[in-house]
Amino acid sequence: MRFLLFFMYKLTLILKYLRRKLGPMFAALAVMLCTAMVIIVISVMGGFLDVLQTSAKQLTGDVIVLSRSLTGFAYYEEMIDQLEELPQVDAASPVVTALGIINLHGQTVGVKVIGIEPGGFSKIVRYEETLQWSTQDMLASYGLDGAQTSPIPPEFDLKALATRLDPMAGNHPAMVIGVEVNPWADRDSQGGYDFSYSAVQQQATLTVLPLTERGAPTELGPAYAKAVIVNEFKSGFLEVDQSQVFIRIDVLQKMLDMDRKESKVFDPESGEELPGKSVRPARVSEVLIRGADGYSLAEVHTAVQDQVDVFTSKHPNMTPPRVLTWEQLYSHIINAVKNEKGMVTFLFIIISLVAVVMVATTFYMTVLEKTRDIGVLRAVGASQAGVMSLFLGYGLAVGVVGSLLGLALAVSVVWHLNEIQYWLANHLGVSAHYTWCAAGGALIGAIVGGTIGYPKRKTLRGAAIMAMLLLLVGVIGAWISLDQVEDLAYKLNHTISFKMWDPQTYFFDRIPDKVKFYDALFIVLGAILSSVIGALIPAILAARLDPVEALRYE
Amino acid sequence: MGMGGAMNDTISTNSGSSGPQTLDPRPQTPGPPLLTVTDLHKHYHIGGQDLHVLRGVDITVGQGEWVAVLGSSGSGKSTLLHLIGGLDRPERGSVTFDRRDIFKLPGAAIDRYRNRHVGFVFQSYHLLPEMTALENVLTGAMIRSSILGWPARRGEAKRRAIELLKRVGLGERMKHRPSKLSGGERQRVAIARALVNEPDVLLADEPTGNLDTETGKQIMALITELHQQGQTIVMVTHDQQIAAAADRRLWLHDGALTEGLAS
Ligand SMILES: Nc1ncnc2c1ncn2[C@@H]1O[C@H](COP(=O)(O)OP(=O)(O)O)[C@@H](O)[C@H]1O
Ligand SMILES: [Mg+2]
Repeated sequence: MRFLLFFMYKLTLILKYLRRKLGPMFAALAVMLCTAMVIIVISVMGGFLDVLQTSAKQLTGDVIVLSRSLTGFAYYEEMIDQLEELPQVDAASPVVTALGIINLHGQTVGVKVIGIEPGGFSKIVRYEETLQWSTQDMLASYGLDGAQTSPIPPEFDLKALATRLDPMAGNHPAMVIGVEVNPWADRDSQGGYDFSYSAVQQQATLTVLPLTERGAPTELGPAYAKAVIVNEFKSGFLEVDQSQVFIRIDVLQKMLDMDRKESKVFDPESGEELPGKSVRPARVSEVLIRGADGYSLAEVHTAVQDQVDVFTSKHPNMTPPRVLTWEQLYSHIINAVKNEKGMVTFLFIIISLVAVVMVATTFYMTVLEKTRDIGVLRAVGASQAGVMSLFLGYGLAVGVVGSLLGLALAVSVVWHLNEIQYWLANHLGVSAHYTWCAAGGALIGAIVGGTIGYPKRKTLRGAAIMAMLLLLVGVIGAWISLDQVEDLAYKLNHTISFKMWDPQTYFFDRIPDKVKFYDALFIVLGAILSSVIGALIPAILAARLDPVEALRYE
Repeated sequence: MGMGGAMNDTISTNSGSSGPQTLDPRPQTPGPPLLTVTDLHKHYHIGGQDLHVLRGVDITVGQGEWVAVLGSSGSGKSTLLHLIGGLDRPERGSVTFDRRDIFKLPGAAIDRYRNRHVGFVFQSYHLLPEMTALENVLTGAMIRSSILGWPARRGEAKRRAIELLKRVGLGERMKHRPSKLSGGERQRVAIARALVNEPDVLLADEPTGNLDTETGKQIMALITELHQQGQTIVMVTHDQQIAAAADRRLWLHDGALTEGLAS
């Protein structure tokens, strides 16, 4: 039991050593940087995964019934009625998707056209909140004050128009496009849009290719329609914002020849018209489903799958559609990010080992430097276990100080990541004097560090060498920067910073900037543990020093 | 001072002897034996060579006695002192303190013996450079106290450390670190450190070896004063003049001790 007690001299010595020993200060610095680095990376990765998952869920609802063919499936109203009766299902809404071309401002772009029932669609998918423009914005862009012209008549209310997707004027259907679909869309370095390039209130020509039920192009050829763009949406998910346009489902069904058709029936023998009509049911590509509260995703998925199985057994001609959860639908992206997060864990292990080695080497140096003092402590009565726990405690202290400083650094960096990113984007490579500043800072830091450092010639010399090295690095950096830093910064920005961090070509428009408590706790504890493990071997060596030899040591 | 441990009961009666009641000049007759060194052997092995440094050393140190061990450089004086202090182990022989052979004690008890019953003074002071003079003196007291126990003990320990520093004439320099002190001052701090736990015997290894003659004399005066107050002292030196102040002089020669042999 006795050796478990933490004896007073250890605390006193640890506190002294912490303040006066340069080596462990560097070890603490290393632990700090390692901790900060892992917390920053894991926060951004984890945040990225969260945003991705939320966005994916918000774009599809919980479960999706998906046709295996571009030609879609029929009897969807019946399916929706049955699905909505399930207790696990809150709402279901049909969607038609088709590849299309739109011509806007004379430019032609390929899009994914989504036919929706705006009311039902909004219940499942985050749609209304993603709409970019209100009528106020529009009026403001013409220099008019929205307040003066209000109330705005419903036919000019952009949000209202977009949530109804009604025809706006004449017989043209209304359309809502992703902000990035507009070929003139332009963003500043912060990701903001220039309203003057908005496509709202412009006419666009939408072309789609109708297919027969068998999948062949119809004899009628491509169908096209004029549409009026009533709003733009920004989901924050670049892939979607670049490629999707919304239009009313019935408009798209008609264009694609997927609508309900009644036709006269003729006798194949005589060619005479028979009484009654033949009906071709309308088709859709997908049914989106929102699960009811209190049911897990898996429960909703199973219930929907079972219902769809029952449904398809009643319609033997129908190819059974797929039933997927949002996670399955986006698994290709989500798993990629999950894998990257897994790599961060690997990185964490490597970095922990780096911290262990850093602490071990600096502590080994410290033990060598303190050999005589260890002998003195033994002579005054310290036990082997005492000397060992002195260095373990020292490692613990270095770990605690380093990792808490690292946590503070990481939190302040992560919370301001977007600002830092913005600042870097705007200042990095502007001129060489930042490097000169860095060099000057290094010099001053080294002089200050050397002055307040332990007044021992060896340490002073170390600090002086350090200063020279830093100065050299600074000067070389400044020299390189004179003509190359701009180029280098540009390249760095485009190779290291991932595309998703660049607001001009965002994947997500903001870098995730939250530090998760348990992530941070886990990493801090890991760093502390690494420090203690790093101190272990030097501590054992210190404990096993022969006190007589140690006292003779000079 | 009541502290747990195997050897305490006997010691606490003895520790009174370092108190101020022994104002009479140096005792003519040594008290009862405090330490007995019997047939001590120590070898060193270097490069396959066997160096038999101590070849059967016997000493009896009486309570309150001041024994000086004289010997030329390399004769094994420091080795002997380290063995008496329980800092090293012999190949043969025993050091008996409080009726027990310290080398047969478990490790923790030897640590405790060094902490409470002996106090080392070294030729080159060996102060801890990060600590102030006061903290250096307190080291031995801190080593015996846990963090939880310290608040209760601190006042008493600090009072004693300050008293010791005043006694060695460093009342004004308690907050100074060793690098700010002269050699003589450092040795005074080292002596105060050795005395902080009221040891039964002070083990001094050439305490004046690194000092000039004048400063050496002052340190010797201090040690003499401690002895007059009843402190048992074992001192090793190569200097006969220094040894003259002791009650008894022994010569370490060819690995064995001879009493009073002048050469
Ligand atoms: N750790 C050691 N290894 C080998 N030889 C040693 C060691 N320590 C001391 N010696 C040798 O033992 C002898 C006695 O040393 P020491 O006790 O320091 O002598 P003194 O203190 O009388 O000068 C010397 O010859 C010394 O070289
Ligand atoms: Mg010696």
